[in-house]
Amino acid sequence: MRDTYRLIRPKLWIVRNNVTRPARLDRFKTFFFSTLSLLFFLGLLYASVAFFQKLAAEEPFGMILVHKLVEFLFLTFFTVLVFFRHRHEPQRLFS
Amino acid sequence: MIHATGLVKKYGDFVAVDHIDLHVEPGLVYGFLGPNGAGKTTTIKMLVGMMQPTEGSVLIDGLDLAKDRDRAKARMGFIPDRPYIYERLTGMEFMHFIGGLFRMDGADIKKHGHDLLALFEIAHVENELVSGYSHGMRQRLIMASALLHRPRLLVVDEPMVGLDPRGAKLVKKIFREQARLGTTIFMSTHTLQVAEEICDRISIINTGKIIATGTVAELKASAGALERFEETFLQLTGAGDEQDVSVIFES
Repeated sequence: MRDTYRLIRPKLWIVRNNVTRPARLDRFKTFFFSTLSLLFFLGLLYASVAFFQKLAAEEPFGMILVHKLVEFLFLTFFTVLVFFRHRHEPQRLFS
Repeated sequence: MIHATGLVKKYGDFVAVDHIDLHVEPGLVYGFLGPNGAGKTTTIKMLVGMMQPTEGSVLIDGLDLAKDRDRAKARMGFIPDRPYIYERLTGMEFMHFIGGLFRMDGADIKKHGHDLLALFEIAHVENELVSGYSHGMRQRLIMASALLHRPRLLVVDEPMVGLDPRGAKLVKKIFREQARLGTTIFMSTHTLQVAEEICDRISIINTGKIIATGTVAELKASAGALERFEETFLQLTGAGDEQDVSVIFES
């Protein structure tokens, strides 16, 4: 856990620096897009929870469907995370 | 400090590095020269554990890089030719990030980090974002961060790129001083003057093979006692017969 924190720490510092040290012209842009992003992700969370609750209520296999769906989601995002940086040089995956 | 034996790197049928043996004693400034595409960066990447050799082994300070990777890496600092720096971090935050990777104590990072940034003459911008740094300042930051965990081996790929004459002089001085204190410096460079000035020993690589090793004087002697090291290098790498460029421009 500590090692993971060490690796993601610069990303957290960058977020902090973006908030505390934006250039004057960027202040409005930062505020606008941060609010927009927050609203987007809150909306996405709300829609996902509502969808999963509705699915889970379907007896008798609703919960199984929910589990499978979440597994697919994790797999998809994890694959994107792993392979995204190799999109231009796929041969580097094997070097 | 470095004992590389029978290093080979192949990309399909192409052999980038062909059975290289490198033995670098502690406390030396060791130059690694060669023309473009000779295999310098590939060799360096294998020496620092960024690339798996097709054949051969690398021992760093007696530790097998393949078996004891983390401990071997903890003993070395690496300055790549195209380093990546987080643009939206300050210089000191970047030092804290690098020090954290080597599990250094926060107070030590702050103190030693500041001293190193002062040594590289960028302490006055240590709390400013890297995005505002010039190319030379970034290069100095990378060098300072590579020395932060007090490595016993410093591997440098093209150290003088982007440095002004003052910066280059400073870096040469720091490398010599580090070597005097027992740190081994292994550097690849195209700046032959730098190699001639500060390297105790030099290996020249061409088409993936080491073609000559020795002191500057020994290399000059082996090439026929040429006066300038540039001529020696061109003679050894067979690049002395350049084409007549005037033919292209006058036609």
